[in-house]
Amino acid sequence: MRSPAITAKPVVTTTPATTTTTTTTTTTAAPVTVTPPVPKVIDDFRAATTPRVSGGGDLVMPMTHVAPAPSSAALDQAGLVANQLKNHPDANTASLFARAGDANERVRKAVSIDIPMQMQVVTAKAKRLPGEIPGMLKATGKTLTFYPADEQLKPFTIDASQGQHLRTGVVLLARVGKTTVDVTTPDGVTAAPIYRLDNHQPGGARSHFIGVVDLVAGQPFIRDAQPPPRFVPLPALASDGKPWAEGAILEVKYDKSKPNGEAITVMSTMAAAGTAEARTWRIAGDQRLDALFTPRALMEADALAAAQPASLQDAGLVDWTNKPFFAIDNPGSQDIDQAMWLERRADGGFLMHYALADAAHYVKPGTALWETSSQRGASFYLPGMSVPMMPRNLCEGVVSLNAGEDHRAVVMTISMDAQGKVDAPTSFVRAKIHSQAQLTYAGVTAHLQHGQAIDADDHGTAVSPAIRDQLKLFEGIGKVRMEQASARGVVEPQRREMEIARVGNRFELKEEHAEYASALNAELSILANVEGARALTTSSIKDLWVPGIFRTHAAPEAGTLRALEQQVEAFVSHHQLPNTWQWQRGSESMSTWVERLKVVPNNDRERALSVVLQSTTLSIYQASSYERTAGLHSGLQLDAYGRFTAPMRELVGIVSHAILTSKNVLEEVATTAKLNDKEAHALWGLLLMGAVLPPEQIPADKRAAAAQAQQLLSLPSDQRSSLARSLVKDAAPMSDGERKLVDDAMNRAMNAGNHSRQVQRQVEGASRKLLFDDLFLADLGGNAAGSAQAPVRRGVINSVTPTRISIQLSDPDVEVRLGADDLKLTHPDQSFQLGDEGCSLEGVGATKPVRWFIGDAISIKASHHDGDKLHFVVAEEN
Amino acid sequence: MDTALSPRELLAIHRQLDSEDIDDDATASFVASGTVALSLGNLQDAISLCQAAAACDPANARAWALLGEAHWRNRDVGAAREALEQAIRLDDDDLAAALLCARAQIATGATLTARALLQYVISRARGVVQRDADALLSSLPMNERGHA
Repeated sequence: MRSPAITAKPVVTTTPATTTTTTTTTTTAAPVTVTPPVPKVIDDFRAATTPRVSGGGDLVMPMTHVAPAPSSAALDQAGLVANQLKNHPDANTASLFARAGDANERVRKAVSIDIPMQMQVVTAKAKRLPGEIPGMLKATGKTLTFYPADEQLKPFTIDASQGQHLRTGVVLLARVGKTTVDVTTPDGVTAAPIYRLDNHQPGGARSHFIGVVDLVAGQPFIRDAQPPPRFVPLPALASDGKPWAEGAILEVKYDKSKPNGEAITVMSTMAAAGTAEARTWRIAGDQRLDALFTPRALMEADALAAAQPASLQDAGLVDWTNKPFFAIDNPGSQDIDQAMWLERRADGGFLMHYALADAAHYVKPGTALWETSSQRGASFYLPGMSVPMMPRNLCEGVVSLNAGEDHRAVVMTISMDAQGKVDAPTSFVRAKIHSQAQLTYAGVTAHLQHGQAIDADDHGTAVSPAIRDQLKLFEGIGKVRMEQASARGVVEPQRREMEIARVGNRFELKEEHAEYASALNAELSILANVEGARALTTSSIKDLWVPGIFRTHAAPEAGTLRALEQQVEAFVSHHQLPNTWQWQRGSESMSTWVERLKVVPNNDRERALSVVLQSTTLSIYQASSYERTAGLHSGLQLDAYGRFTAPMRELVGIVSHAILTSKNVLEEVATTAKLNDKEAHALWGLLLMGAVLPPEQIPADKRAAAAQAQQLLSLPSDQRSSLARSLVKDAAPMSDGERKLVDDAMNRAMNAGNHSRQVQRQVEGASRKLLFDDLFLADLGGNAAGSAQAPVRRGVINSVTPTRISIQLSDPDVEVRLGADDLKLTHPDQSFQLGDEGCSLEGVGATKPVRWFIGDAISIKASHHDGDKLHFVVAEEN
Repeated sequence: MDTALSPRELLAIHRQLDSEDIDDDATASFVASGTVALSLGNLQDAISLCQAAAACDPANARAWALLGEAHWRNRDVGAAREALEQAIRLDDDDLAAALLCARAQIATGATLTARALLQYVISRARGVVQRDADALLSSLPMNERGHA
């Protein structure tokens, strides 16, 4: 929280420009401390004030201490403020800043001595547009143009009428805000707000974008929904002759060559102003989620759609169109990643043919689709809408395993005994399949649990007996795999899955009912990912380097478990619960204890306490992530876990498929073409580069061979050997440099996967804020400052940290957080700290200190809205 | 040698600064130079600079954490505890500061308070911070009533 007392003020020294440019001992960006001698021409000025760049890139600091050196600007700034305040009338303040000024000067000297010239300067290119830009004004006719000192920033024009009092030829500072640019003079007294928003960002507006209608000083602009803010003027009125509605979401095309007012063509209205849909689009914009694709990506998608019949004639495909594959998904799903065909073995075991959409065949390195997928990393899901990773005619058409259509698939055939244990090597084939039904989780659940007939699928197509007969097998496999998970010690606390839904013009909370069929299908999906990971970690070829991406989930460390045990003791003691609630860590697993917690409660209070305790166990786990080496997934208790089952929604899926299918072909031809290890390794190098590198990144001498190697995947098996032989005839083994290229590409995919998961979490956080607004704004009685009549809501404290308590409300069923500032509103005389082994937040400094213990009942009420989010305060203690 | 100001005194100074017109980046500038002073071992300078940072923006958790570390290394455990507790009240994700705060709490006799904070650190941290917190917690006696 920033202090509201501190306001912006320009800081300009009287240091000569020549002096400033010699401060090369530091790592500064464009200096902000330049005054005359005034350069004669703008270009000279730039030369004098732009930092010297020696190689660019990141800072190199051969220093013994770990702290980054402050930039000269930071030292200047600190010195200036200290100087300014050392004359403060209050003696304490004056003394404090006098000492700070002296200390700052000593640091400056120490840094200049200890950190000599070895450092490289960070280039302005690596920086985002700064909030404060030094530069100069130049008058051309009636136009004033501001030339930033940093050449990499685009000059921008300012309104001459507003900037007429500003001096040309001296250094000014431009402060870039969201919708304004303020230019200030060196003395810091005069400031001119400049409203020329169409040209103040480098690069200008994009030619096709989704934007928000903004009214600035009464004038309509379309602002690109994605930051940084780029504004283009709209015509005065919309096409229907009415004024523009601020906040409406439009898809527009922008023709820079046309004059303002004519440059924008509105393609469609994505959401009307003030609607829940428009609010959702703003989340997408804030998170840089672009629902539009580049023309090249769209063209490629169209071309793939047109060529789909040919791709299905691929001689390398096994024709399994006569096999009874079927899919189970949510009602109305249009992007079908998986389908299955299940068989019972004669010995009671199972054969599971798990088909995964063959996205890697369509989205290849070097294409715009690959580039787009790499940038997005995944599809994103917002309330009532999604932003797909690839164009919808691919992920809902060409690639999707839609029922009643032929599609390409990577099919894993997994053999299990009657207990669900995999008892034979899993095979992988590229096949052409024809899913016969698209069933729903609800329909399959009703069929399996209540014997409800399942005559038609989600599209109304009759379900054949061949499909219906497999549903018992589906249940059988799912159940035995659940038992396997339980035997592995998977911890499964009770959870309610809640979803933020857009209902009409509001956001509402909907419980996602844990469908039985969905839980069964999850087990099949997990198994497919396990077998995919296994394939990447083993090979029939000696010492084969197989680059993979794995999802890992670190186990809690011993100390963490010990801490949890002590917290459980404190919790049980505080709530006076029987000993059966204790975790006997030395003699029972966490999963056994959690299972017991589900059955020990005898009343509603205890059931609530049980849920709190179970959620405490979950809190010690950190989020899973993608890694390059296989490692423990502690949530699933698996040694290696991949991500193969969502290839249309995650780049990691595409890359994993590409590696897997290439390796599969390599191992086959290594046998059929009788390749020795050296030849197999050479061929693998070509296959790998073709699988994950854009052609231009493959060394020129191997580019053609790598492309040919990828053609092996499309040839029938009996034709692969001769091509493989010819490819390895003179092939050199994969060099370290080539391996690094592949490694880097895999790292990029991994990072994109991790980043996309982070973005999805941020989307969910932003969606929660919207939900809270709709759930609780009425509590404030229409007044952001709050209402004394706000209804009291009851809940249970389910976690505490040094800065907040989290409360699970009973109605609505959401978690609400009260920060220290919120707690202070009702307990102004106290500060807070953790107590009771970290199970409580206690007040300190009051005669009657408060204590909030996890599991305690608590009442709260909506307090106010700060413009960003809604706040609550404690209503009464129980 | 200057006497370090307490967080309360700093907050009072901040109130004095209400009418001042200080650039938004002043805090970051003081934090940057304070960090270097600390890393160079110039503890008094670090304290002065971090105090200035905290005075400019008392909601800057990094300023308080650095101030606490500087006091700790200067063996002023009371001032260290006060500054570090303020730091984690502002940012409970800074687990390294929380660990140091627990050390300062132990050094000032607040064992029970430190235990609770260490449990929190252990349940969220990974690596060195987690192991150090675990070792520190293991060294503490159980069931001892410390004082806040």
